[in-house]
Amino acid sequence: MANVKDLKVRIGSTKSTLKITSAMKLVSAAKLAKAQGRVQGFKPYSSELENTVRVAAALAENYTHKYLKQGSSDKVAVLVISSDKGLCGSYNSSVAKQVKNFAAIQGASDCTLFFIGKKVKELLAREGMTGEKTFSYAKNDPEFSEAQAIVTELAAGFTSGKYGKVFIAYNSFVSAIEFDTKVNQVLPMTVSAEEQEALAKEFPVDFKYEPSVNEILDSLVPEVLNTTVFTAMLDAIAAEHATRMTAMDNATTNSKDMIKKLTLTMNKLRQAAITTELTEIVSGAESLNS
Amino acid sequence: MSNFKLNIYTPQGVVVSATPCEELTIPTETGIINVLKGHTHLISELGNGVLKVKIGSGQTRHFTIAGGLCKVLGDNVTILAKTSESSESIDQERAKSALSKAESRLATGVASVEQIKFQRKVERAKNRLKIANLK
Repeated sequence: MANVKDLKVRIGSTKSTLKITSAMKLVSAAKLAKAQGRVQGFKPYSSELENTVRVAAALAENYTHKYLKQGSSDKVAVLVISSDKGLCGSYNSSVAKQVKNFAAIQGASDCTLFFIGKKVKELLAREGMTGEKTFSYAKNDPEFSEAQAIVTELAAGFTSGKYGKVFIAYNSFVSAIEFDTKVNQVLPMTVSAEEQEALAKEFPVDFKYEPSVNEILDSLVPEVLNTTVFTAMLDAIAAEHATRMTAMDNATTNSKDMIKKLTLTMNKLRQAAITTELTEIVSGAESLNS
Repeated sequence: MSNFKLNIYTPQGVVVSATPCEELTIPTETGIINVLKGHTHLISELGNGVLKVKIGSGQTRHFTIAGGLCKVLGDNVTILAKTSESSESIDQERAKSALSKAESRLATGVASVEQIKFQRKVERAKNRLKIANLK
């Protein structure tokens, strides 16, 4: 059984942990609000752009772009987005697990990994899976141009035939207590035949294009790819802050419970010591009197 | 008065959403076009320039546009610009310093690849100053 002094020390250290976790929770909540704002600000742009390109590509006959063609190589590239910092629950381990499963299906030797964020990289390195390259960017505030730079590099690998497909693995933000780990294909971009037909039906009118439809698509298709990757980056950041907020909230609750329990034990011990001492004094005095 | 709706979206956020307007003057890659209600369905590439929006009762708003896409579909005009700012949100001092910086870089001579970049910067800064004065 621990003594009163030990318990005092433990309560003290739990209290300082509590201070840290509750501060981190507040910081994450503020960052989450900002990250969510960015996701929502970007969404109209990305969805409208994607929609326009899909419609134009569906209506334009015989249009092909190097990003739409199937690659012949069996090799795939995976861009893995994780966080640089820990203390965010199952955020990173969940991505690592998905990537491992994915690599097992594809054949590990055919998978080339690219990383944003170092946590999953470290987790996978322990399993003997190393990445080709790690990208870094201002974690809380990624710029669109940073996404462009990453895309340029991955797309170059795809167009040169080095990779047959390019995937992106990340956590997508669902709510403050939930995220969804996804492995999505980004290259080649595919529009299924049914979807194409549905789109063609939805827009019976053709558009007037300036300059030509092919020229517009040539410049827009890469832009869609950029926005897809950028959306994933923003989504992953929002999910990271949300998960950290929840994790820190749990930690705060646990610390509070712990402090309560320890205080109770400490008070009991102290009271027991006082009672023992009193009994000893009383019985000592009693023996002197008799 | 007949009008239609205008949306301006950029990667940085929504600039305007479903704003009623009467007439648009859009800087496209191939030249400036005017859009009124009932315009044919159009998809066009945007250039650098100033978007003029007549919102009715003689009022006009201005926005800078730097590259992107414009889609006219029915009563909706959607502008997807790489960057766009409304005249109210422009910081004149910042635009002025950006302009002088870019111009001085061009004057000292830069590599030909960079030259286009700085020329664009000059254009954008000039557009910003132009509409800031139109307020």
